[in-house]
Amino acid sequence: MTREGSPLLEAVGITKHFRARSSRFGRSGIVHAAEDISLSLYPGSVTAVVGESGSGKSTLSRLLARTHKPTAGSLRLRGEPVDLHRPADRAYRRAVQLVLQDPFASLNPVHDVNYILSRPLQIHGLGGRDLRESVLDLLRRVSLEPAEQFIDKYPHELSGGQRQRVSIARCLAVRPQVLLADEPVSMLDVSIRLGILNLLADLRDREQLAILYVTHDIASARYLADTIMVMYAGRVVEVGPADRVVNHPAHPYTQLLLSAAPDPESTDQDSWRGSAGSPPSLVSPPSGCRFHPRCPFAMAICSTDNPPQLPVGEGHVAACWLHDAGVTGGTHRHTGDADVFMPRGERG
Amino acid sequence: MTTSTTRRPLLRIRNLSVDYGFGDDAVHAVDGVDLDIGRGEVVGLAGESGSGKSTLAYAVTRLLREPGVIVGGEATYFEWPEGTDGGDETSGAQPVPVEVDLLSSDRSVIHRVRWSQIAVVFQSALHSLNPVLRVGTLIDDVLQAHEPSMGPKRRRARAAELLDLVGISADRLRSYPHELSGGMRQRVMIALALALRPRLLVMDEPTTALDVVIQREILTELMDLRSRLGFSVLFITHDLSLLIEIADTIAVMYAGRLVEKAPARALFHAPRHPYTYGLTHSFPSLHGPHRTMAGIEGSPPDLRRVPSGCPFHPRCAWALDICATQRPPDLELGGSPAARRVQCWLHEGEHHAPAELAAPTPAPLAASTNGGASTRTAGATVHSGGAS
Repeated sequence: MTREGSPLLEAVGITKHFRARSSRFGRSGIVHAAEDISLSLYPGSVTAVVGESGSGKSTLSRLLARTHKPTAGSLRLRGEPVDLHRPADRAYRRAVQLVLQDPFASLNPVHDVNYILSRPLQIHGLGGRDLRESVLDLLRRVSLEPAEQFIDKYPHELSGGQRQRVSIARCLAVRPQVLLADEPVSMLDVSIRLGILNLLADLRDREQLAILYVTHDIASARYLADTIMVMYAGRVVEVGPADRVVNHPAHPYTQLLLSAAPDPESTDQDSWRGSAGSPPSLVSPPSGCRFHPRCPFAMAICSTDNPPQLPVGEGHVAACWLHDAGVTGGTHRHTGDADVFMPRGERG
Repeated sequence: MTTSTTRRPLLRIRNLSVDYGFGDDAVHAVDGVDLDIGRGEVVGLAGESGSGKSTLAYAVTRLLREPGVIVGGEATYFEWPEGTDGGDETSGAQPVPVEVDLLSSDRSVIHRVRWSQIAVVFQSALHSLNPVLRVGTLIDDVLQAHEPSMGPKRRRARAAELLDLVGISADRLRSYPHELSGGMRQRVMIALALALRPRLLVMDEPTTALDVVIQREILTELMDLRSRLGFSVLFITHDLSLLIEIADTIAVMYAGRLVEKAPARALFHAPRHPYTYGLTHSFPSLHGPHRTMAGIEGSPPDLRRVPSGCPFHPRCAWALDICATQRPPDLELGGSPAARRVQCWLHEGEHHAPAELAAPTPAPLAASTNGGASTRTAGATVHSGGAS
């Protein structure tokens, strides 16, 4: 994929292991929440991280926000290595902002909108001459208009969608370059979700933000994102341009995910193959490819060796041995077009 | 999927109203709802939070807690004799159902009907299963309470059979709920609900808390069970995209009113109510060209201050003057009666519905009689007055 400019935020081989002290895991176990993840966020683009619960997608967003300290790997902000041994400094926080999932919990109920949005401006010294005018301007940027009506309201006086807009405005206050949005619409009513997604798209286009959109909903990822990254059990299994990943999924897990997603446009009722089992425990993940116990195409190598990310098309990679010509004996599987496994809707 | 018109009735709800609280402060959570469920039919009830969809289900199953009060209407359950299964018309002598008034019958009648005729599956399986009892005990309790004639041995066999029905091995009878995964817990809930072979399964957001792969698994299994056992389903969810795949009929609620009801595909491809239209344009699809979607302007109303007239009018792009003042009538559209209904002034009399709300009804999937011309919306008849 051709990219304009250099990445704003890069993660290289970033890994997070949590120590589980709970007796439920027997002896103190290690939760392998995120394993060897690399990604680059470019200005003016949305990267979606898609996965089910426990796939490590939220851990990833918190690693990038530096609320978690990675076990291994490194971060680069605007090309400069980030010192991960020290807590995130103000410059990093200014550049990289995290939008939280639940706008009912992420806004302090005892403060009004004016206070909530003034604080980051004051702390970072960005208020300018007229603080109130700066706050009004923030409200307008997230389409809370007329802004004068919203500035004195308390969170409980706002609907879920309005609260999420305030929460996004609070991030925008510090003029970030990277916005990490962790399931920003999953707590909202269906009819207002698109409003927030369109706002994010707008911020990408208008303000050239680099956005990470974490979601379990692959259809919304296709709608909003330029790039989709699919995670399973703490690992990245597929990355590619959004349309390619949805139309030509190369990893069996992506195919499973796509065939499970509700799709009213589909008329094909028989495409669901079923899936044996559920995502593995992250305390003792399967050896080799973490998806192999559920994979209908699993081979001997899948249970022993972790597959590398193999190219399957233009800017499209999948961590799956099926795409390694050496492993599959050079059959037509490695065609670069992933046309061996078609999801429903692609066969007709 | 057959059309609902040929089905025998199983549940009939008329003009049901439920308030929370009394007097002027009362919140009208359900406001004059009519809904029919036929035998073997899957009815989807869609709506956003606060639309009254769960309250409706709790009212008809008499599970409503204070301060919820049923203030009007009726709900009749038709108890068909055993052995007259299958939703469609059969030959031979006409069986006669026993009509049970769900709202005014006393506790003993409700106790008999509930679970054995109408069973409920709740959203959060973890909170609905007693954590200190094993799965086997949970099932055993139900059988013991409702079928006293059953001996312990037969109960145990039935419990194993039920788990098998939902795809869980019988050795899980000795597991506690916390030892099961989310999907398995929800399956146990379904097994429990099916324990007494109910004719109607009320499912309140049964898969909302689950991941999409597990959700698909459970829905596939549910549809399979339904075709084998022939029960009807009232499926309550905020996820319209899901309903379009599994439901025969979809009813859409907004601010306590049932604003539109239609066969599933007709509702998705040819919505008549502006709110339904907005909803169908609120979730992006996995296929087809990229198009910018807008969702719906504004927010769902606060039920303490429901807008006058049509509660949707402040968010409606096509609102007329009358919409702000008078409650829209309940209109029946199209040919066959009860096929589709809509509460909207745009389809009444001299008003002209915008093109977006007059798309031709798609032909049913199975029988593709492509008669696009016969599906005009002309000839709307007023079903009931607009008095509120």
